Amino acid sequence: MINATNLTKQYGAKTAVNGVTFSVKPGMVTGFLGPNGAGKSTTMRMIVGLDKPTAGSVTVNGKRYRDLSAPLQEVGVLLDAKAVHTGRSAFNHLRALAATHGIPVRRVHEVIELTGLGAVAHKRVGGFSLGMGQRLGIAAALLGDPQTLILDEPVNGLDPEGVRWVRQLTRSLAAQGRTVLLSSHLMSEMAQTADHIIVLGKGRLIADAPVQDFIAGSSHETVRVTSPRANELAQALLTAAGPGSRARIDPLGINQLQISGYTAAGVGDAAAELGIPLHELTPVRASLEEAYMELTENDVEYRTGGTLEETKR
Amino acid sequence: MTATATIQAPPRASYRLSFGGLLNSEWIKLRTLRSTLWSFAIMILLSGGLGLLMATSIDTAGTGDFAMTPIGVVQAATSGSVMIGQLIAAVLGALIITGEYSTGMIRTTLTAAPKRLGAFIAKAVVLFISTGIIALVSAAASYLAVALILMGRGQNASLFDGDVLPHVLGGALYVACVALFALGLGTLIRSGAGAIAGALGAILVLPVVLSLVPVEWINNLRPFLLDAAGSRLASGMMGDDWTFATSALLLAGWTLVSLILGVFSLLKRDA
Repeated sequence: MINATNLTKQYGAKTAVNGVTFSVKPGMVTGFLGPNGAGKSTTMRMIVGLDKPTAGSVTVNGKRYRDLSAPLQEVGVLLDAKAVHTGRSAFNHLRALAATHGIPVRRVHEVIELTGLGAVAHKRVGGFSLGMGQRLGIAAALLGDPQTLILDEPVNGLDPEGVRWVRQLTRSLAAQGRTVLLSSHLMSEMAQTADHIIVLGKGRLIADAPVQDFIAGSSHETVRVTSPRANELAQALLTAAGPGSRARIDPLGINQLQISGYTAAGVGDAAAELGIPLHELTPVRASLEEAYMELTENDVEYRTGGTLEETKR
Repeated sequence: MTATATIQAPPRASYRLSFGGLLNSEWIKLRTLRSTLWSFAIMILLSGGLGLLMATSIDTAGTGDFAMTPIGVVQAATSGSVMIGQLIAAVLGALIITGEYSTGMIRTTLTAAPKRLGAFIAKAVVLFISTGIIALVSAAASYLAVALILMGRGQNASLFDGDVLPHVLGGALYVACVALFALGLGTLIRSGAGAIAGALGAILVLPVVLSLVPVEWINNLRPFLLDAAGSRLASGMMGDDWTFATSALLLAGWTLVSLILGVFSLLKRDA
């Protein structure tokens, strides 16, 4: 259980995290989303005491992280940036980390096997690929068999097999009643992994809901239509909607359209009125990605498109 | 990694963060980096080489201007090993912490030991003891080199003659403290280049600068510098007014100021 209360972090004049209150509950995977620079990593760093909050507080199982008597056993953490000395081997890195808590070397071998690092365990970390580095970071997080797991972008750089493994691992840990906080930019992966979603935008909490509710709250429902007279139907729908409406029609393929701003019933009625035959009429629910994009539209700090600008809220 | 692997379900083992564990961890970290092992090896080899060079090139039999007694050569060689040792200790002490900042390792160290002070003290203890022991081994290497050459000439020199042994111990103490001095600077500055420049500057450059400034009271500060304390401990030079104890106290002062600044920075700043 992680509880953040009015958590705030300022770096000079910039407010990275702004009065965020949330709790991460045990027994489920909580997805931590937000555009780059939204404050996710800063929040995670404050949870494990690397950064000191400017205001507010955050506790793990009711205690501040620094007051835990066995931090590695309470919380396993993988941070976004590398946190390993490049000159040391993976095995020695884990062994040194284990030594702080009196964790036996047997457990070091276990996590090395578990994360598939066996073949490279005695090679220096400096030569690791991004994926191998991630596996080592996950191994370090699992070392203390922690009750709470915090993983910042764990699948970044992993191969498809590794991505699937992380999904199954986090789900099984949550099923054991542990607390899992997971950040990722891969929405399809998050949709399959997370039970609950917390979204930050520009340092503020903008959503905190179960995944189903989060998606259902999106207005981004579309209708897929197939018709031999698709063009005619599209023209009619756009004309009927009039200028300034939210209606939007994209061609999907031959005689197929994706329509937003209309319900399936609306499209069907319009087609019947014009005598246009329909071969398919399917309402399509928004994906997590669409719901997320819609929600964070105004909170993207670094927007693609050439210039780096603060977007207006 | 297999797709079905999961970690053990409870019951779980009971672990605990302890100072003994931190000491053990820092000891593993120190000896599993090639740079540390190289630094120590170079320290010993250079010291032995210096002893060899001095013993072969110095006239120990004659009575000319450049002649020295056998024990004089031993003293010169062992204090020479301190000159070498201080440079390597300064680099090592700085890198042992700045290497963690530059690679990100510090985040692992501090999430395992979130109170921070324990990890820092453990690091300092391991660095102090290992550097001190290597400094003693270096002095022994330079002594052995000298003794071997002298033996070939039918002369001998004992470590237990005169002030040799106290100065060897004093020199090792100085070298180990220089490593701590650099550790403190490194923790404060967080940059390897900056910390090395700072530590070497304090040892090598500051004395020269103080001597060159044409102001008498500044010149008079010279015996209070870190390297002056080291010279007195390692060879008895520089300062008739100083005892072994007062020099050691001065050395401890420099070291503690640096360490305290480092600790203050470590505890106050975000990692």
